[in-house]
Amino acid sequence: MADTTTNYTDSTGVTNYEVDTYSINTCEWLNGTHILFATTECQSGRGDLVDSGTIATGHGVSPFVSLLFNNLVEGISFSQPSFDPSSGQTQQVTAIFPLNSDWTLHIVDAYSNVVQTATGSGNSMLYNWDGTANGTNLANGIYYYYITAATNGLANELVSGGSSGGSGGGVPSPSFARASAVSSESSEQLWAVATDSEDVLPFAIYPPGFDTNGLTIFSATPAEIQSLRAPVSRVASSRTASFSTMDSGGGTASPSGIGDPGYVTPLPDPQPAPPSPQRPPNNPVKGLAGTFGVAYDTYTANGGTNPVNCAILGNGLPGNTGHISMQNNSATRALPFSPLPQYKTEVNNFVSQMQHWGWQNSFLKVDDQLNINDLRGSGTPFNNVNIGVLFSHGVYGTSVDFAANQCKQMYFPITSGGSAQYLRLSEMNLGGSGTNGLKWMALNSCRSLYQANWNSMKNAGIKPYNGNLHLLMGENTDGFTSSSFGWYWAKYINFGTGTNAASFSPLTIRAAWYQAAYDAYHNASFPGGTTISYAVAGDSACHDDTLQTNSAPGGSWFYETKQVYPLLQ
Amino acid sequence: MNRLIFSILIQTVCLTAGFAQSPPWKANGEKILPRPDLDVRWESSSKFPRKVWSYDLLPNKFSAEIISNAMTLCSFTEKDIAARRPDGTDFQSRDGARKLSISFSAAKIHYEIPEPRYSPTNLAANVPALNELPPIATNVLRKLNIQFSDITGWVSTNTIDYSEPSMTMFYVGDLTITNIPYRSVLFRRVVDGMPIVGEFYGFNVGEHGRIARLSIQWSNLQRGKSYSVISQKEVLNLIRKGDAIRGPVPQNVGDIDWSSIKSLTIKKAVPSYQMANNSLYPFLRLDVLVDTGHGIVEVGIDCPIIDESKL
Repeated sequence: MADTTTNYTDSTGVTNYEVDTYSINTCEWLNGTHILFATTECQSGRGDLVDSGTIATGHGVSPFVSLLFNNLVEGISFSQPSFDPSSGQTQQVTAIFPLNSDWTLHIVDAYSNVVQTATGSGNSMLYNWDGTANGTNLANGIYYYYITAATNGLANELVSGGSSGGSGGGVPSPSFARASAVSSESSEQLWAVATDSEDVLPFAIYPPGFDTNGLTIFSATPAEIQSLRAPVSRVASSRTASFSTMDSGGGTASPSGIGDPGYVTPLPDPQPAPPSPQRPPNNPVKGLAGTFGVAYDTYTANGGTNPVNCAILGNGLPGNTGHISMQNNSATRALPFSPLPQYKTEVNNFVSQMQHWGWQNSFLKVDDQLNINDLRGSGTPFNNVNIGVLFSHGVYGTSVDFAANQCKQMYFPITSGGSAQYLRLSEMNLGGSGTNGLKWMALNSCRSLYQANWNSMKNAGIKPYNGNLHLLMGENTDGFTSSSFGWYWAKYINFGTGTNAASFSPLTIRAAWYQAAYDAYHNASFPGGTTISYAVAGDSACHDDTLQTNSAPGGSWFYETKQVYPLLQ
Repeated sequence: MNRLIFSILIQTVCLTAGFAQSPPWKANGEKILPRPDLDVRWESSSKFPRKVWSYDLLPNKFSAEIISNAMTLCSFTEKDIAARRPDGTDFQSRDGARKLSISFSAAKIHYEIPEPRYSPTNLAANVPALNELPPIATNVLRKLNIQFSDITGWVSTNTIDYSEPSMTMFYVGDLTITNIPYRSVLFRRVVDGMPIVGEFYGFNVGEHGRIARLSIQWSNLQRGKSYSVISQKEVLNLIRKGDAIRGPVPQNVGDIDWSSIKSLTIKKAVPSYQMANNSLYPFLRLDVLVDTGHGIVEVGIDCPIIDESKL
């Protein structure tokens, strides 16, 4: 099993550690002794278009930690990472009990409401959930599966049945546990032996990109490998896990421990789940979600208070004789853009809420990870996700742009190190086809959809989108930073404004954009007279798109702006 | 023996304001840092009252006349009653689209209709112009028994704001067709001359001058304690001590590093009420210019108007 995260060192030399906590639910694994370790990979550059020099990489492995798992509930597993009840799919929940037990499965929604219950007894459980509460449809999203068990004093058996608390229950397969084990033992997989080593390891544990030139890789079944090894005993009767640690470097470890002379790495026990590192997530999502990508710029490359100056922008006339005036500033003045470290929290809240509802974050580009070319043309990575969000500064031009058919338009300063250059909105070509194509894009920047200039672009025939884009969200006026805005938007498009499972009623993507802004701002302390307007432009056929139901673009566009503060509710 | 690659979870730390904090105005922004040496200048000409009160919000059993007027304004009759409760009455049109709810306990009158789906060939018709709204507002306020002396605006210095909060443009070939679905009448309630912040009431006027949305909360008030108002000098000291919160800043301004700001200039000070927990709580809202060292930023700052250490 491997989840990954990325730390990065910014231009000031500060390493941003994204990882705070390592956790594992030991009940998701079979009882027995396990060895835990972490691997790291570092590289000297990103390898993108700008940073395209030779990339040096390095790897590291933590000391091994030996841990004995002894739980009454073990091997919790799920058949699907996500499932779609509307197309007849079910989620198969399984677990094993080393002692004959009475068990209860509670399926709980995001608001801690128990929506389904199943009970049974025996040495294993299998429950097929159809995604309903006794036949009543439930909202899509994350559901939590809580299994409790108590020994019942009966003799152990291979498997035992379970009974459903509702219509979603299924009859356990009596051959489940045995069949899974046999399947795991008999299927071939790749193994690796390092040079000058006798350790045979599953090849799957090596992280992507690991230098495997020094390894001997071969295919074999676990049973074949097992025949070369000494058997390993398991402890399966205690309800309490015991812990011990030892260093991979050997020394004073107990006999037959790691590091002892002649020690041979034991094999994985048979498991119903696929061999590590691949396995289903521990909180499967009900319903089919999609992908989203986020990029944000904090403008902090020059420190926490110093702004980033954006180079003046030529107005497109031959010979670079003129420049674009931004918001009535002198066209020859490099405007300073203040740091926006708040975006980190705002984006994290948005990402976590989207993931909560089952969306996959395909990319998250921060500061210099975002190259201005990432936003230009149809090759933008945003076109390969369903929802894209850009958090940046934004300004509108007050002089015509000869590079875009003499329209007035909007500009976004994109940093590279301690400086920035403007991206023209007209340089974007947003929209992607296919299952993972971009349908909805949000430009969370001041004046990103400034009404007067949007009209100017339309009148000049300048389109920052193609025929695949459904809606483009933005701001008509200056916006304000808010840690909750993205969180609200993600919740409202996935679930709605309600606070309990029964109030599932997702808003349209367009309406959610305005409602999120209203809710983020309506209690804030603004200077007297402040007004804020957001905007949505899009294909008229997609005006009422929701995440759950959307229409194909028809080719006719609209632009809408609504005041979000102050607002009559 | 199994080998596991360590499970890594990203633990996001969300910093949020505590809503259980008292007094309630502190929940609406970011606490400022103490800056005992901060240069704070008072350029507001606002006069402070000598005393302010806290209030309890009580139910409002709207008079039969007000209820009747609200029904007429929203085009309902007795036949449209969907639910009659001890706490109020709900009205609903036959198609279920238009709903009027009158709640005595919450002291609310709320009417809404779904926004029609307009198109280039189906535009909102006969929406009154901005200059036609004042007489409409006068008429509606009179029918709801709301006095002009009890309300104030936000954007303008008038008692009511008239605006076009929503607009859609349709692009048809080379043509741009603009649709204004409604125009708004917006105001805030004032109590003892002090506005209740963040609560905007009023109505939208849509096609053919019909009410398209109406929302007021007009609780009866019961005075609680009275408090002496602190001096301007004490306000400045509280800000220096960090006993204040600031509102958000425009995205284009970025963040404010309070530890390095050069000065504050208070341009406007408005004694205000915060509505929370069925009560009105007095505090001071300030419009402030912050010299960040890189520029001047206007922000809202909330701070005590009474000696809260004695609460």
